Order: sequence, then C-alpha cells, then structure tokens
Amino acid sequence: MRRLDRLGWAAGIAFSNYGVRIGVRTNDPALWPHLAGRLPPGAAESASPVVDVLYSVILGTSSGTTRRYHMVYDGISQLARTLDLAEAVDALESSLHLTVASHAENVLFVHAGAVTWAGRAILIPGRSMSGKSTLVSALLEAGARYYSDEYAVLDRHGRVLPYPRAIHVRGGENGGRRIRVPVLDPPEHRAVPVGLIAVTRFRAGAVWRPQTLAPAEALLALLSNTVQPRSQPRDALAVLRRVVTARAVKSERGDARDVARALLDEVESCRAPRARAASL
Amino acid sequence: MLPLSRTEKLLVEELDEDLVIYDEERHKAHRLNGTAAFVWRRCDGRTTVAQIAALLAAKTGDAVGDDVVLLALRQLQSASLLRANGRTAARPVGIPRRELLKTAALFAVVLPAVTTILVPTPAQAASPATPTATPKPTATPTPTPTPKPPAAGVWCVGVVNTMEGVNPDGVVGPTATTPGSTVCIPCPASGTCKTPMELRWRRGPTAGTCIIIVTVKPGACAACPAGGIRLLPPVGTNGGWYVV
Repeated sequence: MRRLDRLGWAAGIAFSNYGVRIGVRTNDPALWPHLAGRLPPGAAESASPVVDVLYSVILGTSSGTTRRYHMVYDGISQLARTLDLAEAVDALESSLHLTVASHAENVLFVHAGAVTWAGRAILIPGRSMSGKSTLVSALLEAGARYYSDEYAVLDRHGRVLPYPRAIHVRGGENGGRRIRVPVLDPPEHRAVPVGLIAVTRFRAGAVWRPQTLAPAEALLALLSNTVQPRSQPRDALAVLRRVVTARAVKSERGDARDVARALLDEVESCRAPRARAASL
Repeated sequence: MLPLSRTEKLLVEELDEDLVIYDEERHKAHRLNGTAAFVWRRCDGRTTVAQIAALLAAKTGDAVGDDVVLLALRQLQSASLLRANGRTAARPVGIPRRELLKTAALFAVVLPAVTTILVPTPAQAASPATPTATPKPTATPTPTPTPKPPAAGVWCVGVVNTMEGVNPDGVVGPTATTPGSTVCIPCPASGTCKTPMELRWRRGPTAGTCIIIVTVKPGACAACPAGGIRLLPPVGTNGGWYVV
C-alpha cells in the first residue's frame, strides 16, 4: 500500500452507498468523465474523507512508441492492467458494485434482474451469461418498469428496491462484448413486493415450460445467487423466506420476447385472486 | 441404531413441510423435502429406525418400511446433518433403489430427498466485468489499509497562495488546485490551524518536489465549505497530497 501511496494522486472522490464508504483516487482527473453514470446507483458524495475501501486508478500515458498500462487497484489487490481504458473502467465499475453488494447494511443483494409489473416485482436470479439481461430488456420492451439488471436489492421485508445501473447486454445471446444500454425510464424510488420468481437460463431452441418450485426450492435458488450470505446467513434467510411467499417457476427458455409476455401474464394471474378478494 | 441429528451451527427455516438448513460451519445450504425433514426431526438419539418408520406411516396413513427411513438417514448423513457418533450414527445401508420405488408406488410415499448447494462467496456470485476480464479476484475482498484522514468536518480552511516547482510532465502540484483555490487540509493534532501552511507535492519518489503555500485561516478547525478542495496527507514518506 505504501508503494501505491507514494505515487502522485491528483484527484479523488469519496462516496457512500448503503452504508459502505468508498474512495477512488487517480493520477489523472481525465478518469472522471469515464466514470459518469458508472458509480453504484444512489451513491452519495461523502462529506467525510474516511473510507472503508480505497480504489487507486493509474491512467497510463502514451508518448511516441511507448504505451503505459492503465492499472486499477482495490486496496493493494490489482484488478486490471490493460492498455484498453474501457476495460479498466469496466473492471473498476464491476468491483465497485461488488464492494457495495458485499458490504451493504440492512439490505440483501441478490444476483438477479428485477422489473415491476402491476405493482409487483419479477425477480430473475442468475449468474453471468445466463441471459437475464436479455430477458430484462425484453420485459422492458413489453412494458415492465426497470428496477435492476444485475443486482436485486431486497429490504428486510423482502421487498425489492431499485438499483438501476445501465443494462449490460452482450452482443447476441451466446457471448460477445457487452453493450451498455442506457436506462431511459428511471424507476420509481419505492420498495415493491415480489410477485414472481423466474429461475431460467437461455438455451437456443428451448421451449418455455415453467414448473412451479416449492418455496424451499425457490429459497435455495435465490440463496445460491445471494452476494453476502456467508457473512449474514441469518439475515439472508429471514429476508429470503419472505420473498419466497411469491410464486416461483423454473424453466429453460428460448426467445426472450415470448417468455417476457408469459411472465407478465403470470404476474397478473397471481395478483388476480387477491384483487378479487379485496373487491368483495 | 439410534440416529441423532446434528443441531450445532445450523440455521433452520421451515417452509411448508420442507426445511431449509444452513450449515454455518461448511457454508452449505440443504433443502429437505417433507419426508427427509420428518425423519431428521425425529433423530433424537432415542428413537429407533423402526419407530421413525412407524411415526411416518402414522402421519402419511400408509405403510412405510424401514428402508425409506434408512434412505433418508443416508442422505442426511452425507449432508453432515447427523452426528458422526459411532454408536448413534446411521451407517449407510445398501438399499436397492428399485425396491424403494416399488414401495413408493405402492403406498404413495414421497421418497426422502435432500438437495444441497454450496453457498457462494461474493466473488462467485458476481458477474465479471467482461468475458475477457483480466482481474483474478480473490475469494473474499482483502481488507486493506487505507489512509485515515481526520473525522468529518474537521479541517483547516485556506486559500492557495503560491505554487512552486514543476513535475517532469509539466504539471504544477496537485492538478486540481490553482492559486486562489479554496482548499481544506486535515486539522493538526493540536486542533488549531496556523498559517502559512506549506504542502509538498511529489509525483513519485524520484520526481522533483512541488510546493504549494496555503494561507490558512488561523484558529480552531472548522467544516470544509462547499466547493473547498479537500487535500489528504500522504501515507508514505514521499507521497504526494491528493484531493478527495
């Protein structure tokens, strides 16, 4: 760390998000425009310079035939060493989100997409490359409201809070470089109860044949995608058991647009009996 | 055989007839279906396999053989949910699955099932930045020493007076400051700000030193005003000041 500290740091920012205090320092303020819109949603500039996690970003300068690497550090751990600035910023952004997700207080971060429809949230838990961003995009096209693409944030009551970072859709269903899709429709800033949990994975040609999951199965599916269960297992279980009172289905999927419509219909059908009961 | 369930370092959630059990020691989560949960709950070290089978039969209203209970015990033991005590632990017994399925079909007994997942670390649960991302994240973020600047709102407020010296790349001092900039410097241990304050800026251990002279408002430490550029001290001997 001392070797890093000895380098010249020209600029820095400190912010906090969900109780996590983070600092980013750089040798070149030219970094800031690249970070616009990449900080964790809801990050508030911190008045205090004391931080829990400090990132150091060294922008490499090029002169003549000499090119210097851009380097990103989380504390003393090197996250990236690359000539591609976009790649360095991607690594920083990804780590910033993971740091917030890992250390957040009073909320639970689940690796899942989340949209809302008819006042209820649809949770799509899944790891990277499972096709959840594509499905989230298809749900938005079908009229759903965006809440999150990568991390669903759950409060103590098991309700979903918005975490609207720009959606990352890869070039095609099977891979390629990510394309950042700006979020055009900012979510309402309110917690929404979960109406449906869809455990799904893309497979070319697969047909959507949803099978109902028992609450315990749904809880296990969510737990396997929860970011900080090891440090707070009791809290994680308490939150997730509230979430799995919602209906949960599982199936492989093919085309995202067909499945999106089916998921929205499912939420409406789950909601209907309660709405009828309320009107009686 | 008097099977005894393990209860230490386990968090148990009951969901309908199923159980979700979190093993805090091994960081594994198990889902026990109704039959497996029923058997696990009755492994008290006093109830025999035959008695558990009889209790299960009474609950379901169908005849249940010992083999169903033994299958449950085998699954529970491989999930480390039974005490590994030689006297009481259930020893795995080879039960032909065909026979069990026959039993299940005849008496509509739900066969015991234990599903186990390894609970992920934060890094495992996260998406990589790109498919070709270079970072090799460690399993858990390592706590790292970070500079410990003063508490919030405790600053010496001043104005940059002069900036001397040029770095090899032509940049004078901290790039965010210019003469006339309002800057905030951490309050000294004495709690009193004195003027002038000299800040040394070095881009690297071998580069030339730049100096900025800040005229600080003397007196007790105060809050940093809006627009004030906060400068933090170096941690190493040759470190430069940096802006927060």
